[in-house]
Amino acid sequence: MQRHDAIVIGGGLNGLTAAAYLARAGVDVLLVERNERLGSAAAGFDIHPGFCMPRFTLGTSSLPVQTASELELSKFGLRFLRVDGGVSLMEDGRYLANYRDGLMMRRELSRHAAKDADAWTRFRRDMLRAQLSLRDALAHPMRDPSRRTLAAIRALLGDAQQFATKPVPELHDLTRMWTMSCGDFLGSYFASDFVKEHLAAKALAGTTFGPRSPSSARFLMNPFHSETEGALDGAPASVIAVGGPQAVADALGAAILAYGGHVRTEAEVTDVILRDGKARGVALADGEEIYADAVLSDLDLKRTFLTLFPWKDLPKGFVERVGRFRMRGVTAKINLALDAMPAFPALPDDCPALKGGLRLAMPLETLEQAFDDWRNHLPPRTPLIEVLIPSMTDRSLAPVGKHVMSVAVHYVPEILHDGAWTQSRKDEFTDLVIRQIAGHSPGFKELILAVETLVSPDIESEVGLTAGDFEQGEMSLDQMFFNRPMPGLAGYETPVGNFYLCSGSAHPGALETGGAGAGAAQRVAAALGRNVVTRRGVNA
Amino acid sequence: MIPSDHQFDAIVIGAGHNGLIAAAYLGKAGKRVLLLEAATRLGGALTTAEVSPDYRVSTAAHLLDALPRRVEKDLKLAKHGLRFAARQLQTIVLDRDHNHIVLAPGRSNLDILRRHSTTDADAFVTYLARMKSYAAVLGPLLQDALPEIVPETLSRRLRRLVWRAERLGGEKLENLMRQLPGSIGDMLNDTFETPLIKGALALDALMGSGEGPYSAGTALTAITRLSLRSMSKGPHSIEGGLGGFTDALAAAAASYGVVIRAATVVKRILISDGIVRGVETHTNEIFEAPSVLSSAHPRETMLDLVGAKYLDAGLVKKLTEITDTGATAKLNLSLDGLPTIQGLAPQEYGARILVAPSLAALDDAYTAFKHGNIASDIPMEVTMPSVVDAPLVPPGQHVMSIVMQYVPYEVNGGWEDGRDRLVDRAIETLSAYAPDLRQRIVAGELMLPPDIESKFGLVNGGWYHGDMRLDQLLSFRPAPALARYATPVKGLYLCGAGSHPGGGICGLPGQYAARLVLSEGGCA
Repeated sequence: MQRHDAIVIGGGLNGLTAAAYLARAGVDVLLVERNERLGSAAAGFDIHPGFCMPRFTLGTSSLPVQTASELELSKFGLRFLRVDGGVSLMEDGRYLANYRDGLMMRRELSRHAAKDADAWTRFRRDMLRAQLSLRDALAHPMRDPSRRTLAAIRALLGDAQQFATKPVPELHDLTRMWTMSCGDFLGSYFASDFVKEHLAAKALAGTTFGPRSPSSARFLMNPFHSETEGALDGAPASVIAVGGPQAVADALGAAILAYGGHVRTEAEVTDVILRDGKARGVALADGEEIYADAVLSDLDLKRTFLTLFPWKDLPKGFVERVGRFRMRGVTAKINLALDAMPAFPALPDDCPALKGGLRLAMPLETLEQAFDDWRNHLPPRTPLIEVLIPSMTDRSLAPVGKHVMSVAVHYVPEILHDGAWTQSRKDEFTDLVIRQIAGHSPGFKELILAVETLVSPDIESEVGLTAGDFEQGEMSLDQMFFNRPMPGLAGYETPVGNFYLCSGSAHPGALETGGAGAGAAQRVAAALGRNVVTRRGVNA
Repeated sequence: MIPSDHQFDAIVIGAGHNGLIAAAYLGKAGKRVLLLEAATRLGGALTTAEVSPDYRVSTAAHLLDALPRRVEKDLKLAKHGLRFAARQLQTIVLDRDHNHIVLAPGRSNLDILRRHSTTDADAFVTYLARMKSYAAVLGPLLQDALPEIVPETLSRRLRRLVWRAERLGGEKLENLMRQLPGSIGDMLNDTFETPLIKGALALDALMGSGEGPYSAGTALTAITRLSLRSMSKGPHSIEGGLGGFTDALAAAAASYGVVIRAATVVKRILISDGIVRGVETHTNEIFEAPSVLSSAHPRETMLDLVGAKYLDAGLVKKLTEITDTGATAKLNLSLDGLPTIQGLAPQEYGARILVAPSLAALDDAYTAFKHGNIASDIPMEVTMPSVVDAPLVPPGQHVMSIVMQYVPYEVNGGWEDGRDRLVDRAIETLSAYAPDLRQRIVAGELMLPPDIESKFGLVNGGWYHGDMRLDQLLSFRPAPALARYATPVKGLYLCGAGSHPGGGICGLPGQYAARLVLSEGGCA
């Protein structure tokens, strides 16, 4: 009979991060992954002989550099490249590039509105400040106001007091940042519509919010997640891992092994073994049982509780609460192998920002319409298209002179109002996206060697994400912080003893890749009597 | 030399209900007060006028729903002519199949609800109790003046807030935590099955706001509104329409010696050495007072009447960023008889009637509004005040007062063509319930958001002098530096809906501003 201290179900970036931290703390941990490759949504694939690319995600990396350095992932072959942060193209041929260099960024913005170069300085400062205060908040375990012990209430009171005694202008800025719409918020900085469209497209990509949705302004700070105060004063960089997101997953896998943990791939967990209401281990699809003192799930909340447990063994009313957790697919993926580098005549030759990605920007009104189409489950008419050509940065991904193109398409519904996605619907959709790209790149269609389109149901069946939701639960304010995944469960514990949630459905969710894994590892290590030292500090 | 009849203890700018209430409280305290109003009529958006000869109706706002009983008593409004045509109006939600829902507990009401869904009747009772307890947690924040930010009071307030929250108990607290930051639509979907009751409760919460049923923060809007409303146990219908309320306020103010001048536009607020001296009118008349209170929009007060040169740049920016969203139009109809609403009992015609078939219909209307279109199904709040207040109209005749929600300020193709389409849609929507409505109409008037703006000075036709959103509430209303009615100009105070706790007809900004002026002895 196999036995470990802890088992992690699922080898996505959060599960891998959790296992790596646990292994490093001396916990005998086993990570079990259903697929052949590690990484789950971060996995890569060979789209065409000799062409390798991220299959489900765009391909920029969002693993915080702090996590990578804490786990010493560079020792396991992980290398990050920082490139200029992408470029937006408008239908009319105008473009706006993100430069890391402050002077170049100013000059770029001045082309559109002279005043906006100054506005950028203020905007950047405010976004960095907001991002840093968020990072501070994420560095502490989330307090759960529904925990009704005297100590907990006292702690909550302390938090509330600390919060409420901040200077009112600072509170106002925070409130604006977290409750306003992206469009209104940008309007208080910038004059040029195109500058607003450029920033909004980047911020809202992959979210379930439109530019006019209240509380969408907070996404504007996301691109600054890996920036530091000093940097080059320009736009945030795009960070690309050599080898793509798969390389991040592989480095984490190697770290787990090196720290004394275990990894099993091609093993699917079908059940959590329960005794006296507590998790004692897992059962695999082939009937094998593995036992442990703690079990962590890197699956989303719904998949975890609706598939790994007999519902009758869960507390009364819990399944209904899990059912109400909102998960929505919003992003489709189109993968392309290209015979040559596509041309973008609107851009200057060798525009360095192109390495960081390309977005087809549109007026905020059109973007809002795209969002409304998505909400109404209509086939996309003007979806938000993000393109990354990772082979521009990482030559190992494609044969010499050839390229792979990763396209994330946002505001694409998981089901259509008149039924499921059919092959012909998918083909029409693929054509639409290719046509849109070709509109900026003459001869684009002729370069395509291979193409694959994945809509939400494909992503759900391949990766296991319910509804194809990459955020593993909508990042709305009522499903964040102490509400993630629901009040009472913000501390990674679940109603099942010894069973923890370490996926993006747990705090901090999509705010920080691997954050939930690190937080859960901390909690489990404490429960097992070990200390995990992460920048999160020691858990209460 | 300023003549003595141009010298006062305090000058109040704007005779909307907040200005009237501020002036009345100051007058009651023995101060010599001058109240100046730009329009020829008092009351701002609370006014009664003829739709057509002999048919009178509240022009804009039509129900009194958040005035604290305390204000009513303090100012002896009953003595000064305030009469309620009907107190605590029932709210009735129209159903296409004539099973109209009454939005109130009570056995017969719940029985009707049970016809729609077996579980929703119980869910409704639970919902009302839950919302009431949420409102009780947050209410004191809104109903009281803002606490001073000094550590002792603040920590006392916080202790009370946490205590109130903790007293809710586990499940309610968890629900509050989860639902407060979210949308009213998600909250209602978690609670009810029947589309009709969800649509109605959402409209009730969103009326007058520019947000949709699934917009984040609208659950808070619902609770905020409920807690403001709980002060008056409304909505109430006023004899003579809301103009009757304005008349009573004006009579109360006059009884306390307040000098009221209508048709007098204040051109600027006079300041020297950073201290307010008085005001100058459009006819270059000068009035002096050591205290000036303005119930105009905070931006207008500070940037137009004071001037940016007296303010720091940060405050000027904050003032320019205040958003006002107009999302409603008002349609008033003269009718030659009562239209027949199938399934409505005779005594129910005087109720507050909501038309909001579902969250989906509301959301569609919101989407149309966002993109500058006219919705196909227009959510609305309808009253027929002549049912409870016969003197408004000639015998046997009636007026219908309709607030249409989700009407954009600018419509694609322009309002020139849009007006008729909007009226047609509204009447079409209502005709589904009252098939003979069209035949009854003898005249009508439509007030679009731009009309509301030009007639009542409400920016973009928004009701509140600053949308009632979290970033424009409490200590942020209208801007952090102005949240306590006082301004950087000594002796100048804000007393309008743009100040805490905000708009809706609660009158608290006026009352609290007056109280501050009196406590600071500014009128000495």
